[in-house]
Amino acid sequence: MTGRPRRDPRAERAARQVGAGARPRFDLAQPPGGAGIGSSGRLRRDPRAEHARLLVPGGDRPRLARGGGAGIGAARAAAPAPAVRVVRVDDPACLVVAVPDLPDGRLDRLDRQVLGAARVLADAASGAVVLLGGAGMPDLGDAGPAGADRLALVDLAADDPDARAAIVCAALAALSPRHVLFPDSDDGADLARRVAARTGRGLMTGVEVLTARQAIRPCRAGRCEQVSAPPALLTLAADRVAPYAGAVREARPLAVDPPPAPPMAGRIRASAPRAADPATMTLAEAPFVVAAGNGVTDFALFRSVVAGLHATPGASRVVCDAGSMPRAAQVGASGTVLDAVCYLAFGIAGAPQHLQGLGRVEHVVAVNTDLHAAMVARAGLSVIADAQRVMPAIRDALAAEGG
Amino acid sequence: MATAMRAVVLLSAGIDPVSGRPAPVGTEIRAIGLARALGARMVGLHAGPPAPVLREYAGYGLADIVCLDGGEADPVAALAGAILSGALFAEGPVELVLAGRRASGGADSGLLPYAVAERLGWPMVADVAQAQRAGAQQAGASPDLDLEQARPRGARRAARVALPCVVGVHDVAACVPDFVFAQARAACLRALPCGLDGPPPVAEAAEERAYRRRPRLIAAAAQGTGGRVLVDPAPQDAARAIIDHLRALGVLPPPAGS
Amino acid sequence: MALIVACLAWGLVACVLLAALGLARRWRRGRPVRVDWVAGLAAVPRRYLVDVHHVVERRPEAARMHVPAAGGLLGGSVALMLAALPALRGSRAWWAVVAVLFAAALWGAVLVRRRRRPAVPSFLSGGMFLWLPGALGAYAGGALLLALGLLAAPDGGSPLLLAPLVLTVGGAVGLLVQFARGPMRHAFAGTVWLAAHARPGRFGGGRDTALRPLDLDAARLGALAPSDFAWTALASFDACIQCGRCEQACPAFAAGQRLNPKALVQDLVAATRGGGASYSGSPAPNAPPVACRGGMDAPIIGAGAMIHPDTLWACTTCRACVEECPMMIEHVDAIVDLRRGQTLMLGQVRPGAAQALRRMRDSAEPGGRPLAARADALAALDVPVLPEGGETDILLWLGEGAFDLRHGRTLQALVRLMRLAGLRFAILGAAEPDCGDLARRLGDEATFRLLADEAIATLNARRFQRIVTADPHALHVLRNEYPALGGHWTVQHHTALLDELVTGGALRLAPRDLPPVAYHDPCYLGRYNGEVAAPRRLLDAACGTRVEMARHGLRSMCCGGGGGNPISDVDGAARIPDLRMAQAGAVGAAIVAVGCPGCTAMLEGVPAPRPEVRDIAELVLDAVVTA
Repeated sequence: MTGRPRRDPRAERAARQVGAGARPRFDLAQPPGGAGIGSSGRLRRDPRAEHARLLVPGGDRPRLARGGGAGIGAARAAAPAPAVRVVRVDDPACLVVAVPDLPDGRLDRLDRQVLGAARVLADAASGAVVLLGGAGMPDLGDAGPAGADRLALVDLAADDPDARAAIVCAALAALSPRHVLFPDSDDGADLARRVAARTGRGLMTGVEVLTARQAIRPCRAGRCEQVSAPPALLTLAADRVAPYAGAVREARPLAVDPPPAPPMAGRIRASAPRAADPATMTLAEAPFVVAAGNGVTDFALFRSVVAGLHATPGASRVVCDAGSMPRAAQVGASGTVLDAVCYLAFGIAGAPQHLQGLGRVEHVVAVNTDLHAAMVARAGLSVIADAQRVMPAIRDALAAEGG
Repeated sequence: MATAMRAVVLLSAGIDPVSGRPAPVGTEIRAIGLARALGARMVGLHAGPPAPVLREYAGYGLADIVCLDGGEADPVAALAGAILSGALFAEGPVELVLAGRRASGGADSGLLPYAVAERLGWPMVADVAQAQRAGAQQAGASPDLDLEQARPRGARRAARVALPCVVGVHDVAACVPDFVFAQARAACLRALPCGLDGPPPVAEAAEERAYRRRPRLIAAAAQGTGGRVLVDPAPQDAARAIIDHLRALGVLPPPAGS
Repeated sequence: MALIVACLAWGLVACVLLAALGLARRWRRGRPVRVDWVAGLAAVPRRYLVDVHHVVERRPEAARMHVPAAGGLLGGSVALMLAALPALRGSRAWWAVVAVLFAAALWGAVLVRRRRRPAVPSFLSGGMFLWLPGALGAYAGGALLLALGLLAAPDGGSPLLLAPLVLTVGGAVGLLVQFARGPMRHAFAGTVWLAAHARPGRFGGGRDTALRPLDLDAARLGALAPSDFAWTALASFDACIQCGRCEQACPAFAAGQRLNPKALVQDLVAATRGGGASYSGSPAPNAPPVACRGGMDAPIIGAGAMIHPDTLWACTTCRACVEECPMMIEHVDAIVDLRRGQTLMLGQVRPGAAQALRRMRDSAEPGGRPLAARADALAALDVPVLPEGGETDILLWLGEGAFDLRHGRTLQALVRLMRLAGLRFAILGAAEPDCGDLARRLGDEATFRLLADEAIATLNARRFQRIVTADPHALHVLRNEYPALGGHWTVQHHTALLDELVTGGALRLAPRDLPPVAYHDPCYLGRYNGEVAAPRRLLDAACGTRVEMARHGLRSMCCGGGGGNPISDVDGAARIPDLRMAQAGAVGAAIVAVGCPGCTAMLEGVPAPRPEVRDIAELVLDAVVTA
């Protein structure tokens, strides 16, 4: 209790709110540090550094790192925050363990949110957040900024989910935390359920609201929600709890008793994930889709450009109707709704039905002759030109690089 | 010639998320398709009384559905008990249990297949998109299953697991069987006593209420609302701008030489 | 000699009857149906002379051919048979009559020959048709010469008549072959079909277009093999004379979408005869080859059978082929029977259709959208929702189109007009399920019944004077198909309601100065319900100039949106709506007026430049004069 800085999660949350609409929206990148909050004795933060931490280098437009994609943020700038006070928790009342996925050994977007959620629970109980990760992670320097007081690194079996769960269970038994949080990603959800099944404890999956007092998750096909006190084990749904944005935490290494050898090892042998071939993967899963519309007439050229960009080909309805592209390539309400990071549209004006297919696409690039096309309004980069003339230029530019 | 694998498909009485009407769960339909692709003999297994919606699963290719009356009190014990009882197949014990990713209409936690696997003492592999029997089996050795797990962004991970095992099926599994009304009509829904002994576990009391849609956190967008617009550039400039932009987004790998 | 000739005619008839017995034996292997033979046979002359000829006359040259050929052949042969009576046999006058009749038949044979000279038109078949005029000519010519010879000497036989006798016998044998194995069986099969027609309501200017309910407890559902068809349907396939009118009218054929109704019917005939590829007309365009194996109990559909599955799903159920068929064959019934077999017994539907059917089963909506969102387009207009037990004058059935923003504008216009006219109306809101049209056209009778039962229960729990809908597909289902399932209401298309309001003076219109407007008849309003006048009256009152496309009214061309064609997505060489819009452009239309959400969506999907697409309700709202 000695001089430990106190935080006000409510105020921090309020500071991240965007706009004044009826529905609250939160800006992840905006640091809480607005005029109304700072009072004496409060932590000082460096919003610039925190923003830079999330930035992906390159390009004229700043882009904040988001998780999942291999290759994204591969060269993230290791921008160490200027030495500000590092917050230490020496004598925690309890432990809250976060078990992030750590794809490629780094915290991804959801991992940071899990740590943020763990922080919420730990702060309410004067506890400490323990990041439980695999030994030999190359780049966990941002565990402290992300909110970890402790760093418990154990040798997690990468290729056997059974063994991995056994090790995590052993580590948890050693730590006896009050709460354990997992990301509700494919790997995190799998691990959490294995741990829950093995320990026989209840698991609250896909939590969407988490405060110190309650956790809420959807149930009954998303038509109802369950409300309870924060449970011992939970998985956190993506983009529901803000990542920690307070002062850098200590991330002190914590020795955990070496876990016992799992008794049933070897039943499952998993290999490393292999990325899909963009040319053949299904449109709904594709991270990068390049699509052709009415403005494209040379489809051999279009396919070569798509191949050169290592993208998955898509098309508008008119193009599929005409038989120039297979129906499986159709993007839109009556075709496939995308979940891509980026969508590059050649010669697609953007009928409402088509734009519905871009539901969750983050970045749109449009090549179109019409400056007032709906697709241009949706795009982050628009080139007002004939797609038939731009495509050969892209193909040639890529060929020049490759050669 | 290997004999057909004996597979159990776990079925839930789902509801449709849009309409709230009783409806089969998509991943459980795919589980039926996966078992079919393996050429397995199938029995559907449901912990609870026979419900009309189970007939719809039959339409996707399950001729025989066993309902464990009273099993809803402790589904894990009821299902595991039935699977181990030997009552499901006359030819031998169950070799494979297939389940959807998560049910739709109950707690929807996705925990049940794991708990059943734990109870059976069998390995569990989740998020499976494709399965086939591993080739080159030793005579007498327990056969293996080659699985392909779906990972985000279309990635796949191969996994090999020894039978008997529990397999959770992912939404992207392409093996959706055809719905045949004549099969649904002809299916046999057998009610079996669930054979639970001892009191059911005490369910945790969680308050339940109507779902409230809440905003998701948004990723911080780039500065400014509108995008960059290049009007009538030279094709080479346009190509360069697009390539650079794609590289900045991280969707296009950097040039081979660099 | 005269007796020999008469006996020859009797012999010919006996052989024909024998061949007919063979046909009938084949038909009997179809599903039995109850037929009112007395009424049916009594109605045949009228059905033939009025209804059939009404269609035949649309090709005047065909009518000019058929009257002498059929009349001469039948009349001459009957006259020859009557010559067995001694009184007639000795009468010169009688032989003169015979000669005149066969002269007509000979002229008919010449005309038959001319149809395929110098080249066989694409819509006609070759094969046995190529020597049919020869057989007909030989028989008629020989008989003519015999009659002339007997006219000269009724009681004697000149050896000179031996040559024409041989000619007649040769022709008669040819005709027998044409009857037993070739197209001439249409005379017998057509007569039987006219007597035992599955839709007697179609004759005498009537209309009967509702699909018949299917007994879902029957062992076999729909048609998988020829023996699953009603025997009358098998007779109707044999009645096909391969005139190719259906082929010329079929929108799927025009777009190269693997369907040719004429080839379909001939393939069904071949299937009943054990397969083989004897058909010689134009095939289903771009259809992959099939094994041409058949049999009364063998599967019809499949690459290893007679008909490729794609053929089945290309049909838009527009009934253009049925409308054009002079033999009154029910192609759409046959296709739906086949689809029912594929869907209900085998689950073999195209992927898009499978998804829509699953959504209809699970969420009562083919698009999987929440039912409560159906009325979103009318949210700003505050239309009352009719609760269970509630009462109103007009119930507005919104239909599937209401989820589409474009059709939402149409509905808004309609609601505004109904408000202007001071009508009391309400909608069902979230209680309105899908009417099941798509499921039924796709052959999924089980899902249709699921939805229909719910819709009928919902409607029967509320009180109203009539139902109005802007969706002709819903109109057809509610008006024509629900009565068989227990739903009886007055159902009106919105153009009929607006026409009533304008005619009655409740709405006053001032024609606007618009570029030429062409009206595209929705199949389910025109052909299915015979409503072609009210929309045109409205357009005449609301717009300056109205032009007609070459195909309009009951003979209009489909937009391509019906029968699950779009979601079945069969490959084609062109798109049906593109063809239709080109027809509109060809008559100089700048605006295409529509009255169906399906047509709106299909025609608006045509890439620019194209005429603008406006619903009649929108055009009427623009022209309305508020006092």
